[in-house]
Amino acid sequence: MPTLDPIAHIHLVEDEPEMAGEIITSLEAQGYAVSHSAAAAAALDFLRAERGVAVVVADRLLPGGMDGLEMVEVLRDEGIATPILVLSALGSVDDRVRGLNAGGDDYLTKPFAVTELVARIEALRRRPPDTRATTLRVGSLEMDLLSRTVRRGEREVPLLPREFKLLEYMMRRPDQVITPAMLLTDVWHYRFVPQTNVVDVHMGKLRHKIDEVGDLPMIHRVRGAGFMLRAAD
Amino acid sequence: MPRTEARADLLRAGPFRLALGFAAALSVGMLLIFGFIYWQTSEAETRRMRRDLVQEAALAAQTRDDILLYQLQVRIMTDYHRVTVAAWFDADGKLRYGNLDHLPPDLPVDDNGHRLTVQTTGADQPQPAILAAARRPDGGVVVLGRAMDELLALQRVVARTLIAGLLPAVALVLASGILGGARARRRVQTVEQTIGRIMGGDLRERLPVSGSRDGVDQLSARVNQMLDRIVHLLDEIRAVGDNIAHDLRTPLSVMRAKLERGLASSDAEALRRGAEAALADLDKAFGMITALLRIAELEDSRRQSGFTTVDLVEVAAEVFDLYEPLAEVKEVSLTREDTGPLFVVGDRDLLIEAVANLVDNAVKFTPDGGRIVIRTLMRDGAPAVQVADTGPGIPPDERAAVVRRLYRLDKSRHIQGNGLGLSLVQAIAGLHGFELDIGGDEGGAVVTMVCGPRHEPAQAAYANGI
Repeated sequence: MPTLDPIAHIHLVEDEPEMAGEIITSLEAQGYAVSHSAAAAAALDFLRAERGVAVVVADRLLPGGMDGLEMVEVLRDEGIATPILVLSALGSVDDRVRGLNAGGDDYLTKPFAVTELVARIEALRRRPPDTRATTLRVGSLEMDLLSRTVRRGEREVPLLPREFKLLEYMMRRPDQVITPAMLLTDVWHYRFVPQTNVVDVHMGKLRHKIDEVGDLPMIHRVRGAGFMLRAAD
Repeated sequence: MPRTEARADLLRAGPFRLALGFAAALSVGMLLIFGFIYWQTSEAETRRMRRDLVQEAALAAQTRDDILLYQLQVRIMTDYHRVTVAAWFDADGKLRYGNLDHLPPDLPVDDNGHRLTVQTTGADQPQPAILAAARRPDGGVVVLGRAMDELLALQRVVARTLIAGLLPAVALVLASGILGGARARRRVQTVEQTIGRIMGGDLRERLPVSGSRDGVDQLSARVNQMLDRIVHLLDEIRAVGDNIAHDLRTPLSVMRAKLERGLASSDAEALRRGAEAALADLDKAFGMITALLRIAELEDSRRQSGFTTVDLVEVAAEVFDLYEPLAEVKEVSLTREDTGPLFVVGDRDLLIEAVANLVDNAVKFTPDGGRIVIRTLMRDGAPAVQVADTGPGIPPDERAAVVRRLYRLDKSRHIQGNGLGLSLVQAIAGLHGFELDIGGDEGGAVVTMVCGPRHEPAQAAYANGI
């Protein structure tokens, strides 16, 4: 899944050499330029000097007395607004980590699939400015947020409230991989991942409504990663 | 243990310290009592005598000669104990009558009492006495007095009594303190040695209980109960560890086989498929670990601060909304039955997670064409949420086991899942103090979460502050 834009610079803060190596290799394979520091202090120095970084990926647990979350706070205090993705260790998603999601940053629990990591990085890079537009448009698909109606070309698409929210989330992030985990946390606001693939089924239903027989598909399945909404033409 | 250390231990022992305290308090008390008696007998009595003597002497000084003589005679003659001093001197110091040879030189004639040592004519040695002298109009002097022998004897008796009483009492208290302290020390030592053995790894060891039901006994009994609980928990952890090892081994060995087959194949596509399948197995193993940690986190969590009022009907509606499409795809009918809002106090997200797990299970186990109902109802006077399905059901003898971690019915082994769903629900119910009831028959399972207080003996005991 190549990135569309010119090479984006990702800065990784991870003290575990093997883990760092794997992440760097994976991200570089996806077409990112990756720099790396092993502690929060070094990362801060780097980020103060280098303003071209698109997204910072930081492990929550870092050596040297400052963890990933504290690093986020320092950066924000200094007015550095680079989006940050915090990698938190398995099973320790507490309220502080969860708060990142509300603050414009994001978190991901280890272990994660590289596709998930890339999807989150892309979401952070292209985080839509919170526009006051009352109409969202992707290709021939049009969503009226006031009357809560959706049209594809001339055809009105009847949606259930949950489907409407799903589609709204996707229309705000066109051409972007959306993973089931992102939908669960951002649309359903759940902290847990159901055992069965409920999200896939919801998306399947939505897709049937958006892409009718004969239409060019707009909602695409991204193998092993999630879904993507793209203009049909 | 060396002797000095033993002595130091004894001094530190509670009962001995208590005895020391008692001894000190007893001594102070007795000293106060005897001090008061002593003061009463000596000081107050002396003052009274002195006052009387001064008055009598002043009176005698004004008395007519013949009457004075008579009075002095009576005084001396009725003094069987030889404690009275009475004498009448001329203006020139010559004895007119009385039991003093001469006017004591150091006795001022000033209508005041004085303490002197004088020898009366009948006595064989001088003795301390209180004397008062008064001058008569003709210049003569009347001396009246009283020997303090009696008083001093009384004081000696009081002091002797004090010592005779205090010393044995203090000795008795200290002795009982030493005995009690030594006994307590022996018991503490036994407990210490036992704890040492337990800490050394012998968890089957228990503290001795003497049966006297005193403080140490009660404490020992509680510690023993705690040890029972720890052993129970350790056994459980051990069992869970075995289960984890076993259940992780399965996906891992499948994964290994897939990778091996992929590597052995010369076909690049086969290798890719093998790696993909292995990745899926790995995710399954990770999912299991995540769920286990989540359960552990829930069980550890004593935090109920995030609790709010939650409508069970809304929880049911959320879960229904999440699972309806899935049920549709599986051709299982998913319906809801509600009577009206049912409010409980809890964590909304966790309650949704619990009910979602129940429905998840139900969807997995209910065959095509089956039915699942999410119900909110009142049960035993408490709000409850129930998930009933037409799946194979859970046999009664396995109902207690299914909430244990990683327990899976043998006949469900082929169905995808990590065997942690119900234990997760149980953990969430436990955190809320809710009761999970597993019922139903061969025609389907009925799992009910009764969102009311749970009556568990251990908790009841805890609530009573035992």
